[in-house]
Amino acid sequence: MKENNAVTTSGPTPEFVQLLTASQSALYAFIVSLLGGVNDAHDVLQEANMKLCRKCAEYDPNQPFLRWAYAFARFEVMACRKRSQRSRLVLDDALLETFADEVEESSDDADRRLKVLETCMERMTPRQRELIAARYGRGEAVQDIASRLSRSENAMAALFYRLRKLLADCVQSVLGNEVRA
Amino acid sequence: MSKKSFEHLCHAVLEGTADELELEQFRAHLRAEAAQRRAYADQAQIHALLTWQQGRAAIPVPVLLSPADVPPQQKTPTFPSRRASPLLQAALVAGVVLMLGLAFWKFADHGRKPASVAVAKGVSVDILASEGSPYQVGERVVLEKLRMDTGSLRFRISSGAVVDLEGPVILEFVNPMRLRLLLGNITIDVGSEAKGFVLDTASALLVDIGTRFGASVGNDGSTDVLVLDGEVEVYRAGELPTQESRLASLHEGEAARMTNREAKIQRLHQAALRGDLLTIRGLNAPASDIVSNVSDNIKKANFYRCYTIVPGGMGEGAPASLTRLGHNKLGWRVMPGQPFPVELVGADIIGTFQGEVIRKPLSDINIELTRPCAVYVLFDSRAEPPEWLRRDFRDTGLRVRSGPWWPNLVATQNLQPDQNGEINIEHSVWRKDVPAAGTVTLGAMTPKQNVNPYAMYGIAVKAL
Repeated sequence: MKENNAVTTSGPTPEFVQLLTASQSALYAFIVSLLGGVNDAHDVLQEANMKLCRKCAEYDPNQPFLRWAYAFARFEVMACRKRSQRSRLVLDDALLETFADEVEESSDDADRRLKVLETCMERMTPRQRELIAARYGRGEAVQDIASRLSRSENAMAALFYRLRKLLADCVQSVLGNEVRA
Repeated sequence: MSKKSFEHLCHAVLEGTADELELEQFRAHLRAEAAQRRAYADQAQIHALLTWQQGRAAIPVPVLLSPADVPPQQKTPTFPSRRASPLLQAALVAGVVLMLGLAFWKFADHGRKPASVAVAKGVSVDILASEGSPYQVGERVVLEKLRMDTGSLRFRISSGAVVDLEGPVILEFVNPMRLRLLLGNITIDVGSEAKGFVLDTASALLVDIGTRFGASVGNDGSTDVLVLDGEVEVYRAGELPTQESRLASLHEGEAARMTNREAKIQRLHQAALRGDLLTIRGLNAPASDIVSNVSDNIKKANFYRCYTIVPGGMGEGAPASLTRLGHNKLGWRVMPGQPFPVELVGADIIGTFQGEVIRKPLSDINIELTRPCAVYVLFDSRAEPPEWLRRDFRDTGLRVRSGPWWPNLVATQNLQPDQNGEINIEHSVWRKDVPAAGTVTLGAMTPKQNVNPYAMYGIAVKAL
């Protein structure tokens, strides 16, 4: 996507802000997946928010908001990669394009996905929830958690991979059932 | 590449620990297989949503950004163009993005990397007391996130709020009027300067509208709150603080628990205090070594009165009860011209309810003991001891007073102020020795249907 510096003709309406607000988690997840981690993701999200607000008049409410917003987020990810002088790029340009296309295809109700994630977390065992709370709630490093629980870092990394997969499968299953219903 | 090594690479990428060689291996894998791109997409999405969700649970976007924050425009479904001056447009966009940015900054794992756009960088605090913490008394420091495994810390935030912490605790400083408690115990005195102070947790949003309260977040993410003085409004986490999302308005002596942000608010029966500073001791932790639980069978909607436990705190001036009426806290006092009874000194104090509740028959109080103990009931000397007290306890002959009370109460209407102008009530001290761990049940002040014109009894427990 090419950035257009044309003068904006209107500010964001309350409806637009609501759409943007409801899409924050999905945009963040999209950016994280393209960047390959949470570093820089918040800066990129803010830049994307800025552009989205400036271009709000161009949004066609008959089109899915998230798909429209993804294009801005993708552009800002590319800009971020250029700014960071291409250091530690997880995806190369071609891979990023392929990956972004695939993710954009699967865009859905972002808020619903987050709510389903909460439901899925309630289905986890107390021990699994505690691990999630330690890593994501309290911000503990995985190696610190491993050390505290007398586990190897590799074992803990594998465990977190499985926990995320468990949640991803659960979310997919619940959303799939809703669509079928 | 084996499945296991892809998992390892994927995890290392998301955690930011993958080296160049691992990144190249990872890319090669994504190029080769669509299935692994999907697997990575799933991992990245859940990783991001969990990061987001854990923050959003505490500080929802709508709290900082709602349609009301945006200047009013004509409401149409098609987002029509509406010309405004470039300056106004720029200000508007900047405002919206700043609010989104501030919201995000609070959600993100900003301990790793600070945000770059218009974001406050920490909060200035003055250290007032420190024990086993890395900070010195008198020091002024700027804090973004505080993690303390042991020790205690007392500091004043630039907004005027005074905070007491006891490790283990993890606390984030959002701004001078807003903290986020991730784990552990906190006591906040907002005084008169910081009314409206907000404490976020994963399961509740607490707004202190004056003046002192304690909160505790357990490992399971549940939040307990106890109001020590004034009033705190409890809102559902993740929602706007509105009339609809308000769960309760708690006053002093009231405590509640939210197990998660979807759960119903529950009455918290007991909370442990440090008697000297009137700070909480960890609501989720065992209250004391000898009293494991205090409860009653009151079943009443919107009832949040809480029994307070001050382990080992009994002595002259020890807190007798948290009250609701904004008066001085009731304390235990010596009888004029007498020393404080040695037998009681160092006992755990269980604070009971005062106020309007005492004029109604109170249900049984159950005290769970972990070992052999002497249980003391400090009974209003003017009242006729009920049958359960005469049957199970013996009058030690010791006397103490509670006070200072305030006039115009049923319980104090016939009492005269002492030489200091204060009203006190005399209590007889009754004792029961409990030879083993178990539950002791105390009955009501008066028979059912009778109005109680006396002070509620106090309770003390001491190991045998």
